[in-house]
Amino acid sequence: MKRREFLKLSAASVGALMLAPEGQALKLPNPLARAPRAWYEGEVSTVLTYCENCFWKCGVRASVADGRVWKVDGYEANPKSRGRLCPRGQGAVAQTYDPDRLKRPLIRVEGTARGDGKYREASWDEALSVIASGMLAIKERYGSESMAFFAHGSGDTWFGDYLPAAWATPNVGKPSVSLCTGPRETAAQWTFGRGIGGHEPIDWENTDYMVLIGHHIGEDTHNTQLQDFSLALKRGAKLVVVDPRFSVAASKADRWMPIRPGTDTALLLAWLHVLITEELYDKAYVERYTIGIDKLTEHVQPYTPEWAAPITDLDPDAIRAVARELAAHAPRAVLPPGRHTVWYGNDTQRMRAVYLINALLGNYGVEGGFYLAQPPYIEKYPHPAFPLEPASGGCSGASGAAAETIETGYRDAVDHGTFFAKTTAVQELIPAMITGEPYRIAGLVAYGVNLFHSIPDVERTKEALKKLDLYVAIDVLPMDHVMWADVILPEATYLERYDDLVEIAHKTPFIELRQPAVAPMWDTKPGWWIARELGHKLGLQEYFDWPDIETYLDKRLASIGSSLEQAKKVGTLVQRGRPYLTDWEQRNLDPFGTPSGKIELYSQTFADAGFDPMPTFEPPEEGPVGSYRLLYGRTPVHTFAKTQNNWVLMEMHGDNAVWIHPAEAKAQGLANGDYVWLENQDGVRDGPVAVFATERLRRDCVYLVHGFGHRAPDMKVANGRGASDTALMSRYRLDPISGGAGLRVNFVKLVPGAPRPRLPRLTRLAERSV
Amino acid sequence: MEVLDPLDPLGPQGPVFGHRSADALAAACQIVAALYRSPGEGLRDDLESGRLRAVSDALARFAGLDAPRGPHAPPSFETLRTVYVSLFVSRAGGVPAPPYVGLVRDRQLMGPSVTRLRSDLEALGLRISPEWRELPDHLAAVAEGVELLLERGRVGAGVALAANYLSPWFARYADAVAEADASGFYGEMSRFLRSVLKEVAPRA
Repeated sequence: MKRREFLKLSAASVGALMLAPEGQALKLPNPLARAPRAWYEGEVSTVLTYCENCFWKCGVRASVADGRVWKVDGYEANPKSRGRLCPRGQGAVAQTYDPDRLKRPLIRVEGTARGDGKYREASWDEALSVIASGMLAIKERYGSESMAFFAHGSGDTWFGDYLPAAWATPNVGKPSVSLCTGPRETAAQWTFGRGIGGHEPIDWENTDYMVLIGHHIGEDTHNTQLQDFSLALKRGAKLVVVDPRFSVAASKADRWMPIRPGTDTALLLAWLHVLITEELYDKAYVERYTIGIDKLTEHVQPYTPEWAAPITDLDPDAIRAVARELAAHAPRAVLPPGRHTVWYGNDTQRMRAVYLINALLGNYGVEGGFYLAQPPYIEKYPHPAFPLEPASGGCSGASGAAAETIETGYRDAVDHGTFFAKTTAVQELIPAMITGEPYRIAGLVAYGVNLFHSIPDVERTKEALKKLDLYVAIDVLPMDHVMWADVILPEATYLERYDDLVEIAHKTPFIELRQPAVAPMWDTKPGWWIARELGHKLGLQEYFDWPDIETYLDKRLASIGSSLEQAKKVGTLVQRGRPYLTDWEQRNLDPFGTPSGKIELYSQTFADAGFDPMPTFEPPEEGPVGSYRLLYGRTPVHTFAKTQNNWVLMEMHGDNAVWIHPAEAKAQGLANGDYVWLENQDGVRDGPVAVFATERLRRDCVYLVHGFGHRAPDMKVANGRGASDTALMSRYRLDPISGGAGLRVNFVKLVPGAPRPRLPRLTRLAERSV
Repeated sequence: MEVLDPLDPLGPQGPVFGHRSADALAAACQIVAALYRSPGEGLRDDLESGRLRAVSDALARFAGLDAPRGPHAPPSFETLRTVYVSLFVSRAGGVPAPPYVGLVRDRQLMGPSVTRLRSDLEALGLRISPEWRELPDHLAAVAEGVELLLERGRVGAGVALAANYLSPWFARYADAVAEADASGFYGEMSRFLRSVLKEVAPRA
């Protein structure tokens, strides 16, 4: 056979490789016989960026050699990490090199249904053209407002704010608002006139007494928050934990108060009662900085510890004792707001009660209490004014924005009018996809949001997806909901991309830069690039006039006298803040953005809107006989449902178990390690999941770690491990003030006889090969 | 058997290889590079023009094998694109045949084998193109490298690349593809190429 007998295939010469100029090849006897070397023996470069494996946004140093990130460490000069990093941060590298990652744009095969999971590859140009064409058709038929955007993560700047505002839709939802922080932000806005923000402004280093209410520090882990909390304990600060579960924080506490679920507001009212009736509150502070103490005094008269005791199932003497101890340590005593505050549907009022106690302790804007966090100064990119301003709020945004209607010329969000706050509620945008009321949502772009593991009533979400004209998913992994999309766009991981600058409101406000440590793998693209290219195809060039992200970032950084070049070198740009009231008073500034300009113990705004101007207790509804209230929480090695395909983290925590009190387990003939189904009040079943019988939980509830129970067969590690708490949340109770979805209103029973899942060992999955 | 290419001597311990086998190896690698890269207009053209069929038939004759039927009656191009995604890109239950050398050698992506491959390619005068939207150790890239070297007459280098990065795992890989391929096309071609490479590609 001669060489000429073989034809040249055109597909074989597309060009994965380039020949170096002649003479560059090494003339070794056998160039492939050299001994391999370890990565750290070569040239290792360090890239400063910030982490994405939870949303604390720790500054990190990525060690790069041979075009690969090998290690990620905390960055000493960054206030979010101070040189330390949690397991999720250190394990993040495994996500970038996850073989299950989305690799190139995919388009659902014609003739298949959403959820069938049949796709073909597409070029970026084709995929974005399909999306643009679908969006423009929706705009033509229904108006631009009929496109919705759901977004979560650092890149939500592009898909939760920038692009939707340029496109002109108010229907933008972020789970970080109505499924997480909404109530605490709304309550803070209408109590203090300032939000809490993504970095909870607790002055841990100066506090002497801490009361955590359903706040799982140590499980819901945020790097420096945990560092500061631990240092406070080490320094001798007292800790009280109010929780139906003996959490990790409770295990460190001086006092654990195993409260009956759903009765926290009764306890808070009793504390207010003791502080006021025993005149233990800081009268000078209250006089100077608050309004409404007279009305509050009258309001809390009935709420004695003895009144609260049978409601909360707590000892009245213990209730009274904690109130007195709080007062004794004031103002260096604090009740920090938790992060996930959507519990029972009356959550804004509960958070108001938390803040009122803090105000009576005189700790807001005072050492040892809350410091006054300020965002850093930096200008936005000077694009033309958007047709609509971003309105979804955010974990670190002004979620409690005013409820007034602003005339924009566009229809208001479809959830407007269903609750008080002006922000959107992601779960409230879904019904309009099904009913078309008040008008139809016909298209959805989901960026980094796991629709099936964050939004309650999963079946409703699936029904809504089926009715859309266009459904686009942008993600890193083929998550459960992603494989329902018409077009799937694979995003580069945080180690491979730039994002917009992050502005952290803090005691010392700072700006963080995300920059790529390595080039994007496969045919993945950064969010900014996707948004920009799509923007151009949608005719929105005027808002995306920056040629590349470097230009965009450099322009913004120039507004503070810096540059991208400098930011790349230092990673974090720290500014000076005004953390205490005294700092404001020296400048004759008022920090309180409330209508009265003071801390509002009594909210006239709420009264005018038909809500209780001061917190009241609403008993939680009870579940069916024989069922348990479903509680849920976090593990320090996972973030929501985002990290369960990361084998490094899964080796540490590979599935969840249902916690139940041993007496309850025994009564049902269940033992540790047995497998059960969980079935909720509406007959929704999930699992199988192992039983964990433990006295660390009250008898009237069960507990699951959130984020497990993926039904995502494309994610080989995550799929089928544990049970999903979200799947069992077929109900929620809307907070009429914040729009938060109270999620702790679901009840489950344990159904014995479930088979032990036959799953591949994680160690085998970590070693992926054919 | 002819002696190895003097331009790229592998030394006294290196495999001895003939030009005719080298031609066959080059042709086989052409098919590997064509089949396992993302299906585009090139593959469509190769299928519709009959070029893929011609090269396969010629290889089969050379190796004394039955010619694969796939290139004679291939599935529609749209079907191939869907099957390609389910075999190599994204699929329920996990991608059954991820086409990466490093996954086999290191059991991880972008591990030490990729570093070594890159360095070896560089030593052989090859670089990964910046336009390549895949990983450097993708099967198609390695095959293209072998073919490119052989095409330029650098038989020893091509053979060494194949011996180090293709032969040690392709047989197992081809079986995995065949087991997972519902269309039959990729499975049949993989097994055919496995048989050809067994004949013409030496092991390191």
